[in-house]
Amino acid sequence: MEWKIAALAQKNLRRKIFRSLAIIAAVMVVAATLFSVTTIMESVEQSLKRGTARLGADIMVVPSKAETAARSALLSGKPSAFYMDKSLVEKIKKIRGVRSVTSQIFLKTSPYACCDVSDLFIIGFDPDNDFTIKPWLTNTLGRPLAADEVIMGRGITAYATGFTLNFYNQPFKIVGMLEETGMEFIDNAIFISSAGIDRILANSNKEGAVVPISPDKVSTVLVQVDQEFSPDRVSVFIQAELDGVKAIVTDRIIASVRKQLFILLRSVLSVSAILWVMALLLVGVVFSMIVNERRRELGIFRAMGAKKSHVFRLIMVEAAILSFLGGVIGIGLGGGVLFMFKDAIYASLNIPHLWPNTARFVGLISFCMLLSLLTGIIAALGPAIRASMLEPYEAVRGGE
Amino acid sequence: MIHVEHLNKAYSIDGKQFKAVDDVSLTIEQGEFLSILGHSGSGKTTLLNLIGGLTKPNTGTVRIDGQDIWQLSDSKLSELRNEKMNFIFQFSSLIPTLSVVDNVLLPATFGKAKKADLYATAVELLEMMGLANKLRAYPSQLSGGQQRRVAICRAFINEPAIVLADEPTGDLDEETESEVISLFRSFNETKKTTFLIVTHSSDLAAKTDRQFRMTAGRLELL
Repeated sequence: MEWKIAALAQKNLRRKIFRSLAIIAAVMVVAATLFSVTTIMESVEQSLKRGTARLGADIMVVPSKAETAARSALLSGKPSAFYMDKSLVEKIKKIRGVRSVTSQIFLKTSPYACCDVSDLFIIGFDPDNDFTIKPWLTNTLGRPLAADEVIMGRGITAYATGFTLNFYNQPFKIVGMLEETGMEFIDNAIFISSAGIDRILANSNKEGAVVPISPDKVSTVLVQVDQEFSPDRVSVFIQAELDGVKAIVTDRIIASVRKQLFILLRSVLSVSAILWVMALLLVGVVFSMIVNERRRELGIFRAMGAKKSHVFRLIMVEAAILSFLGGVIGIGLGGGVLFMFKDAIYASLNIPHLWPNTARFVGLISFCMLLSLLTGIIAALGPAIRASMLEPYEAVRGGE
Repeated sequence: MIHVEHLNKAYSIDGKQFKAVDDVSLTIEQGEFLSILGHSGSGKTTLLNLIGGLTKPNTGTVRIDGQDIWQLSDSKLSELRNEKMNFIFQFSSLIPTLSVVDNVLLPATFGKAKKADLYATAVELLEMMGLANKLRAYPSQLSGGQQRRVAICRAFINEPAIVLADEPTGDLDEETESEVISLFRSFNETKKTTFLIVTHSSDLAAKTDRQFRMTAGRLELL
């Protein structure tokens, strides 16, 4: 029975092509804007989650004056150099709620001849207690990083594994690339072990290579907290006990970027919401017109044996077919535009992003398809109920 | 058998009650071929639709094979219409978005019968009506008379026990009218189909076995 109703609905829609196209277009616009906006939000969210997971820290302690630079480095990967005393590492380790700490030192490659590439972000990590790079090293390289080796972020595409690069006149061999996170802080950085940093420091001031760091400095202390303490609480402890530092809770970065993104996309989201309401109204009005216009036709269906439920389902199937097509075309269009202009869009938003994986894409497509279908179904519900409740004779006389 | 008892149907027009059907009682045996003659507005179409279960009477009963049709649920009444009866309306009743053959097969859309099983019957009926070359045409491509003939084909597709026909030959020329009445007769005699024909034409009424006249909602046997 269902396919008979569907076939009848499809024949009707094919013969009323302009009206069908108008409804498809209304749903398509909603689906396209919604799909592109949710995909952008999802890609940023995923990037932040993967990036902070890679970072492995609950809290990032930086010099208080460098908070903005640290957030900027984390989110946009902009090379930033800020330093604080290394003794802070031991002090932080003793604070209540702190489970483990590791320090990192940031270094920007020099534009002079000592370095093969200028303005690269070098992150020196401590292999004894690191939890950012070490898990990756264990899983993929299977051994510690030697003093003359580096790991590259996935965003540095000019070089490949096996290449040797000179930093401050010291050769370093690229032995691996991290998985993409979308966070430029990690994707555009070169990771060197503390032994490698020591090599650079040992040759500082030789052959014109002046290294702007010293062995008693670190740029950040990354903190993992005990399970019974929240990162927010521990960050308060750190700031209460230590002067001149800012304890940034990494989860808060996700929340703040989400908020920032929401503000950026609020107008687009508002337009999407308005478009959705307009599409609901438009489809509702069109289906009301369809029911009025087809009163006699619906009466004839009833005379030929159609039940109330058949009439209801006929209208709902027509709405579902049109909104399904609108959804498919809209998602295709939104996805296509986003794919073509993704670099320009993300560059203008200046936030981390990572194209969602297949499962998330399927989830987003399903969500947008569901909303598209709901647009047609909700809008047509009233007219469909009204159509099914028509008395057959009154409906048959409708055209008189 | 159709058994109508004290059937009443009134409409309110401009605040005034208008009796379209006024205390009508009527018994029609299976396989009868009868007509109701009357002027426009006499209530004959309303009576036809009351018997067909398309509109509910204010009072009175309509029994088909002993079953009071207004005691049935909407679903059961729809099944009754789909399986036991069919209609020929006085106006163009074809669905504009369906082809000729799909219009004829329309009752199968809502019933248990499979369209494919009835396709050959639909083609045969259309051939009988001289429309063999119009199977894939749409109603807008047909003349008024051709549309009426398609509606007549549709009325027989489910081999109904009862055909309720409202001015069935209204748009037809004399020759086609005669052919249509012959077809009705043929179904009446071979399949024992009951025909209740509503018409304003005394010539058409004269071709039926029993005639009634309807005047201001009241029915009388001629």
